[in-house]
Amino acid sequence: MKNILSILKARSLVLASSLVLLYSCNKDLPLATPIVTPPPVGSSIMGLLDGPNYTFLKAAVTRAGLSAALTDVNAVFTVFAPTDAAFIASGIPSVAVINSLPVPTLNAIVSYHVIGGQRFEATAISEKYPNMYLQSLLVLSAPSAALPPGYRMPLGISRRGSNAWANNIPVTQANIQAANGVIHNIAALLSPPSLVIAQVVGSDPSFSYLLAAVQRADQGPPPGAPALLPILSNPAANLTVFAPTNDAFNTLFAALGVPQSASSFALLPSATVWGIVAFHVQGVRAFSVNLSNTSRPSIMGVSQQFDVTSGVKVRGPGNIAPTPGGPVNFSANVTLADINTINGVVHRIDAVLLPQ
Amino acid sequence: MFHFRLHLCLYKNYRKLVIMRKLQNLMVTLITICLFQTAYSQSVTITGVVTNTNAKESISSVSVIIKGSDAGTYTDDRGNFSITTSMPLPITLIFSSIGFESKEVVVTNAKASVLIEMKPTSSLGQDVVVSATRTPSRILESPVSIERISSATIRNSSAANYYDIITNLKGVDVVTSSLTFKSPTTRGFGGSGNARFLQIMDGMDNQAPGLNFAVGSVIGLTELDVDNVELLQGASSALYGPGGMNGTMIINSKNPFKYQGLSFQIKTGVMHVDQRNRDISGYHNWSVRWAKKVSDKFAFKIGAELIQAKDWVGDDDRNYRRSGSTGFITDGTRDTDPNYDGLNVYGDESNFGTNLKGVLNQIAAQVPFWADYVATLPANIPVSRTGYREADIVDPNTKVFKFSGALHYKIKPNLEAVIAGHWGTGNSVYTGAQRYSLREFKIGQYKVELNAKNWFLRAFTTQENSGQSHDLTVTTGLFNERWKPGTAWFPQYAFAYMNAKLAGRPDMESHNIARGVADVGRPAPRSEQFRNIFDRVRAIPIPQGGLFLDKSDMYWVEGQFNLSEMMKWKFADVIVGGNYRQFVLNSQGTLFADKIGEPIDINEYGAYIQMARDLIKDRLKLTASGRYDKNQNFDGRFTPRVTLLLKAAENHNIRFSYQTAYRFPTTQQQWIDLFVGTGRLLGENRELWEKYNLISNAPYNPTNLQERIAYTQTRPESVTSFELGYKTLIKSKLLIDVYGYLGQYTDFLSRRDVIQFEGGVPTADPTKRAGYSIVVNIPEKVKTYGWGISLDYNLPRNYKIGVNASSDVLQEVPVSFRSFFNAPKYRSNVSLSNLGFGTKKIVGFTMVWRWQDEMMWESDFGNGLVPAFHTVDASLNFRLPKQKSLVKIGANNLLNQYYRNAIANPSIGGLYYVSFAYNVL
Repeated sequence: MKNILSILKARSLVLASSLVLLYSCNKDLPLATPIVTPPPVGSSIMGLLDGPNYTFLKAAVTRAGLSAALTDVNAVFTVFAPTDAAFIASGIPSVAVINSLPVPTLNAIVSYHVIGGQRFEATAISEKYPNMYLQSLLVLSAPSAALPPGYRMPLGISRRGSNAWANNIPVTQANIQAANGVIHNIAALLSPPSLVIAQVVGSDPSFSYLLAAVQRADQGPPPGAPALLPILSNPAANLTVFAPTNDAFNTLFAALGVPQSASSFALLPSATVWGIVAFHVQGVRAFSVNLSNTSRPSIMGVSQQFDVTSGVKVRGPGNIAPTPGGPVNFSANVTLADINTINGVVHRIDAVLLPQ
Repeated sequence: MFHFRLHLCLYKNYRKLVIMRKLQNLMVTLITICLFQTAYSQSVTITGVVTNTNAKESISSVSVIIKGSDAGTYTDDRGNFSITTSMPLPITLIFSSIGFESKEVVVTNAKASVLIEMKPTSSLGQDVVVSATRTPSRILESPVSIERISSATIRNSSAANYYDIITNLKGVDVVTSSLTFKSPTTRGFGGSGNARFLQIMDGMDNQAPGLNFAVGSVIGLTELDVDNVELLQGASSALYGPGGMNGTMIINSKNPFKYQGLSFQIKTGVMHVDQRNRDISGYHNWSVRWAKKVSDKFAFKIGAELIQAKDWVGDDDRNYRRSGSTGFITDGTRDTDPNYDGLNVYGDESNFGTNLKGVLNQIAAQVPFWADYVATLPANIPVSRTGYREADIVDPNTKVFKFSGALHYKIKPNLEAVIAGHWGTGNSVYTGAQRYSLREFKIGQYKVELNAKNWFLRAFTTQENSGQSHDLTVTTGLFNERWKPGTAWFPQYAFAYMNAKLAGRPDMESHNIARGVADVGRPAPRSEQFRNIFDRVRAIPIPQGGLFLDKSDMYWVEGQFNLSEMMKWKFADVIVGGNYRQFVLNSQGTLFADKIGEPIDINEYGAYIQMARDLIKDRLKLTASGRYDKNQNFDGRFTPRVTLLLKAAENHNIRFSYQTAYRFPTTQQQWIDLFVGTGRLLGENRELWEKYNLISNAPYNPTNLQERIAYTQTRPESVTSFELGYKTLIKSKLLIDVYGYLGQYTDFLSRRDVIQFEGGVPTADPTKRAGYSIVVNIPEKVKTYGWGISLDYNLPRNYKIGVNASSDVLQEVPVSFRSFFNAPKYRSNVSLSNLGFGTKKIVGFTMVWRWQDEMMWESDFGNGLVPAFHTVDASLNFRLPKQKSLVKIGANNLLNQYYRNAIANPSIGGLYYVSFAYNVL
């Protein structure tokens, strides 16, 4: 009996120990867990372009080869979207015209309407003067080891209260949310510039005096001051140039009693010419919509004074005093605003601004 | 200059000389005593052999004593004994050995060999322990909680290393930093560098004097030389001095007079069988011991052990949000968090990272067409460098080589002189404030000792040399800097990040693209390029590299006298003792605030007295002890202990104790001066505060810049504990032990982060601030309580079952207070064994199952929850009685289910081995 009992005991121990073995199951050791970002909700930007107002834009995006990028819900973009009306207003009457444009051209146009990597809701657009100087998706110079930042066609976006603009084009409807970004409708197409300021000035005969002035100025800038033509030619610069026409200079020459000719600049000290030309340049890119009734510094230090009550007027401190031999305009009128270039914006004016 | 250095050098050598001379003097004294031996008169020699009644196998190490005298000997490894006496025949010999019934035999004829047969008996509860009261007593009658591991237990255990057996005792937690680095503790406050748990090896405190951790598992006794391990749970400073706040473990080696002969053990196994972190690799543990009794007076032993394996790997890659010396585990991987800092991934710590926004702002100042875009990005974009996993940077080979030897000389039958040395070297990994690779680490302990029946005198020294040990975090961080400095890496990252974003990529993807660009050419883990740079960085001392130099030493002299027999009027058993120790901190300024040739000394001394008295004869025994200690840098401390043992009935003992314990701040807490990237770890000594001008320009509390922290001299940390226990042996078959305790800690020693500002005025400018981690006493009182219960049952047919459970709880902890308690609320062990079944009783097995509850782990390296886990160890044993050998097939963590017992410590898997041990039975 005792033997049986002890055998039973031994058996039950074996049993108990096998139970223990079965029971002793450790959970897998905790390892790093990825941070899971919830998948973006809503349709992609490309999906939204199926809407009735975007038939032109959708066709443009598709032909430009950008639909894949705008369909990727994980990407992030801010898109300034010209509506069908905007395309028509900008002189593109039909989708057929879009489809006839060369693909690279269309790719450049569409890319210029997009900012990558950020969702600039309207409230995120700053009210600072003149605008936010941002880089569009249009690559001018690809980032490389030699040029680490790369360079993309700049786009100025601005807001004043409830009005917003891309360059000088007003936003007609803001904050259309997509999974991969935000869309702001705009009233007209943004056309990517292809020239720098120096080229715009150099290629327009009515600015030949201005070009001559720049060349005279660069013969001898004031001590420490930079030559102007390299700045106006630098694609990475960002400037506003109030460009007086040849007539405007002639008016000034008349008042000064010198011959009304580009050669008259040679009569003036180069440093003086430098001062006059530099007084027409701001170190930021201000579209007409960005201006207000206030003064803004030029790159030579003295500020320009603006009046936007009716049209855009600009003057310098030297524009006040009437000069013997003929009146000088009290202020210059912007006769053609917002000539956009790669490195700035040019406003044609009808009088020379005088810093003193 | 040359003269000056020469002078320093001479001074250093002089110091060593003085200390060496102290030791030499002692040795000379010993030898002198040996020489003045009196010759003995006419004598008889009795020889014999002792065997086991059951199996007729010889029994070694049986104590043979001549009744009525001090003379005694032991049987050798063949069961033979020989004893010489001048007493006239007939004499009575007393034979005793644990596990056998004692026997008295009268010898009338010295010519015939005495044949003795001893009958096996249950040894349950019969173990004799010494450490509880510093006098031998049956474990059943110990007045405080104590556990004992005998050499038989070690021999038969399934544990691959005898240190692992400790894990299966009740109330014990073991922290595993590495296969060869294990730190036990009881009653909470576990950690790799546990300064609250004392480990004593053959009377020598075996903490590394500079690094403060006990090195027992790395460089302790060889497995074959361990006679027994005693483990005192709870406060024990009253007898063992500062340090034993939470417990004391005492490992005693085998006396060569008692354990003789040549024995060796070859253990070979495999690890990493599932190739989780490494390829399948071997485990080798070879040890040898040779002890010889040359004469009745002289015996010696030598031993060596080699352990070699591919270590377990810290593979916890969870993301850790660090701030100062604290932090928490959070979601995130390298691909989903730019500021990822993996626990066991090094070089990605925040001190090597940066706020990318600062870099972007610098770029924006140069690249105006990015300025507006950069301005819209968040103000804080923390980015860490790319780290390397532990498996990629740590030398996978863990090695331990121990070598020891001892000479024992019996000046008189009851007076033994011992000269012993233990030397070891090894590669291991250790977790402190950071993970450290201990490489070519060396430590030696050398002692001279006189042991008499009623007194002992002992002097020893511990000589530490950290070899090529280096800080993995610092080394890997500086490795990254050496490969590509942050000043190059972060701008590359920033440019690539911006370019990716401007192309419309989402933020995290842009980060990953940027990392890919900045990491171009990053040395592949374990590549030759990697090794070249890494080896260079780890060889340069901190802070320019990752090496820590530490050649600190400790010198210790102690003595104890049992006055009981000398006292004329015997009102109590009285023991007195005292010790003196000196630390000599020598890190050449890399770890401590010492200078080359000018080590820092710390002197401590202490004395104790213990009185034991039966209040009611054989019923109620009172023991009172007190100890006074003084450290040159701190006020003296008195620690009392009172114990009561009530023998309610035969083998029913109730124990009660009131114990106090305390510890001085560790040598590092006193003198460390180490820059660790985010700030400087500073010892508490006022000189260090003066050195960094922290007295005149007091630092600020980083979370409250209104509060300035003034220097306060720290006080030793202390604990008071009450314990009630009960031990009983029922029918010699069932041993039950139960205890409950309450403990209260005051002046808890911890660290806190402070910031000092240039000119004393808070500023956000990072160049005008400096972070320090200072040592403080925490004002809160910390209370702990717990209980433990164990049952050991001897079943028929040699089966034995053991069950234990224990609990440790920390209570009344203020919110956000980091206590470093680090103990699971519950843990439990179940063991089942049979050391001999079948007709010849040569086959046996052991099996242990351990479970511990989940616990919150807190350390300077990482805080987080350690999940509950189970482990099963098992072995199958075959005895070869004729060869006195044992063959074992064993498995540790049989089911190969990985577990970690602390945050950022390695994941431990299965280890399977076969061992052959010769001449161990």
